[in-house]
Amino acid sequence: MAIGLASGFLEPLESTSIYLVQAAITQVLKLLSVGPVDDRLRSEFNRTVDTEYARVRDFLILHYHANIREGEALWDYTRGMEVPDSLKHSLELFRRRGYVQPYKDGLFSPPSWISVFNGQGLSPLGHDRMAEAAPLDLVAEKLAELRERIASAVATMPDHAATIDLYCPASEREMAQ
Amino acid sequence: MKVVIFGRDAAAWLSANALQSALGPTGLTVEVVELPSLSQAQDIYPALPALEAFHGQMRIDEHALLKATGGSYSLGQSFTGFGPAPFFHAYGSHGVAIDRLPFFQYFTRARQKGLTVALEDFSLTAAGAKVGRFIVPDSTTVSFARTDYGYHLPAVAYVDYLRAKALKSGVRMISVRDAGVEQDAEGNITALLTRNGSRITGDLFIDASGSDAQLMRALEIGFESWRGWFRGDRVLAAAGAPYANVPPYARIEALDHGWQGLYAAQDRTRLVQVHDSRLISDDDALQMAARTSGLKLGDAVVSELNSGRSAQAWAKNCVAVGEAACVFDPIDSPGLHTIQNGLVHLLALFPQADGGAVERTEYNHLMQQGFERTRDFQIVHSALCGQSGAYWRALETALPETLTRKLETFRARGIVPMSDGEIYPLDSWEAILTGHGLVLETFEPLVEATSDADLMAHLKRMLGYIREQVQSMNSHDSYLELFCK
Repeated sequence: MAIGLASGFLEPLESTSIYLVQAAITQVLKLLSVGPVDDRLRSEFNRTVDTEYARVRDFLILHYHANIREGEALWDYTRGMEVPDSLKHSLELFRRRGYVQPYKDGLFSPPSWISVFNGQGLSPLGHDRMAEAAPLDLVAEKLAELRERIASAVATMPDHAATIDLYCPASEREMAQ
Repeated sequence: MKVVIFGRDAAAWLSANALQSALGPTGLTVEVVELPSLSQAQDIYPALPALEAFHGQMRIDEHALLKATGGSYSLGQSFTGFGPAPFFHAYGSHGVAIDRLPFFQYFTRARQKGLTVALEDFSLTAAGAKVGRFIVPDSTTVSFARTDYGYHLPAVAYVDYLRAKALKSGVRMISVRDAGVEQDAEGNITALLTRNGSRITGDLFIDASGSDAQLMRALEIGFESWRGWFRGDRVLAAAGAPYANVPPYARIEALDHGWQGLYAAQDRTRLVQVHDSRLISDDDALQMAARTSGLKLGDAVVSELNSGRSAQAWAKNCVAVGEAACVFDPIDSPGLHTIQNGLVHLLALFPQADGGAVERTEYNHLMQQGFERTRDFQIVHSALCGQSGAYWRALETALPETLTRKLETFRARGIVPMSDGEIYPLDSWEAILTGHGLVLETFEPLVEATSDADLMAHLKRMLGYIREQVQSMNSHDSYLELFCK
């Protein structure tokens, strides 16, 4: 059973390396055989690992493919390159109506996909028709309310550096290294 | 924008209500071109638990609905003659996780050590159902178990209820005997033409005409037959007197020539029996139904069954909902859920004014997934049935690869590889695979960390808790009496 880098390498852009190790270990613990290797369990292990890899792969390619850095050789190339059909379909669905395919297995859920689509400058041409059910001023009001709630929650949160200092400061020896 | 729903019964009227309540406020016009209903007094819609939430979105009040329809609750389905012993497919979970590892793995280990208690005895839902109780999930039960419920809805009254609600909320309706289909050069439907010369135009059409799939046929969409997995080609429906105590579950029994389901409701008890006309005549099947059910059966109706799915659920500007998209053998009661699933996905992918090729592709993919995972679940009965009757002999078609993988992984380790688009939850798969007598070879090694004595203590505690809870539950009858009469 290959775990982590021995099973594959996906570049570090989305910090998925440890996750893929973890996902594989979770499966090993479920599917490990004490006696001779069971083909049925081996194939189940491979199937779940393949799914994890394929979905992270699409997510990584998205960062390269959906870019607006024109005139830069790397980015011009990746913008024009062939991408997997599964990613093409995800891109189309988002461009068209901001729809993100839900899936059961795989690391990145719709909020992650939306933040990257959105952050890399893809804006949907249309939207879910159900979003029209509420009048626009009510929607604007609800969104403003949400922003306020987030802002006030953030205001009460402890400072990150202070939290580390309080609970898990690195020892001086570690700092020196 | 205007949607025209062409069809009848639950498919047409659930479509009308779902579209009107979600998209009516956006200015969508919904019109139903209604074909004569095929629902009769002896017909029943058994509903899986998901319907409760769907009804909620349409603001259908459960108590009022059961009162108006004479329907009842259903906590699951009991199966007799399918496995080495009768078993219960509960709409709920079995046991609780121990040290965050799945209960089912511990159950397997205990079984290998000689435990004889059945899986269903660890289900609060099954335990309650079998003694005629009804469970309303509350904060106590939720911490122990998932306990869901479906319904048994008498068809005529349910359709009437849905129709009245839709019309009240602004859905338009016209009744027709049949209609012609007008298409443009690209094959899109432009209008339905009635006999008296009306021309009903629309932007999107819903084919809710049932297994006739009249619009899909007009669009020349192919049909993929599943007869090689489901040999039943006749459905017999009949009804008898209500039970003195209304059982809160369906009773399913394997017969030599097919299977039979008894679905209790407040008003009557309904029987659905599927058989293969190559093995038994309709008349003999009716006699058999009366004999096996012990009911005095009124008017029985036999209709044809041709399981399979339309090659596409959405073609051109026409979406097939319910049996127009996929005809299921009625075992495991997927019918209403198929309608619901189609509508939920349609709402999420509702096309824009310029058509919807991208949406259509995604919709067809999602629907195919749901149809096939449902089909796989149902094939378990034919693939593993312990009956020796001719109906249950070897399948004509090899098992789908997706099901083979489930069966093999389950046999090897008690794990069911669940894919996207599953209709039946993991608990349901575990219940029917175990019920059919699949013996597991191994379990997850981590469950060995608990000692035998601790494991036994855990299991005893669970059984004790279930016993206590069941005693404190209302009977199904008294619950119906209180809220649904």
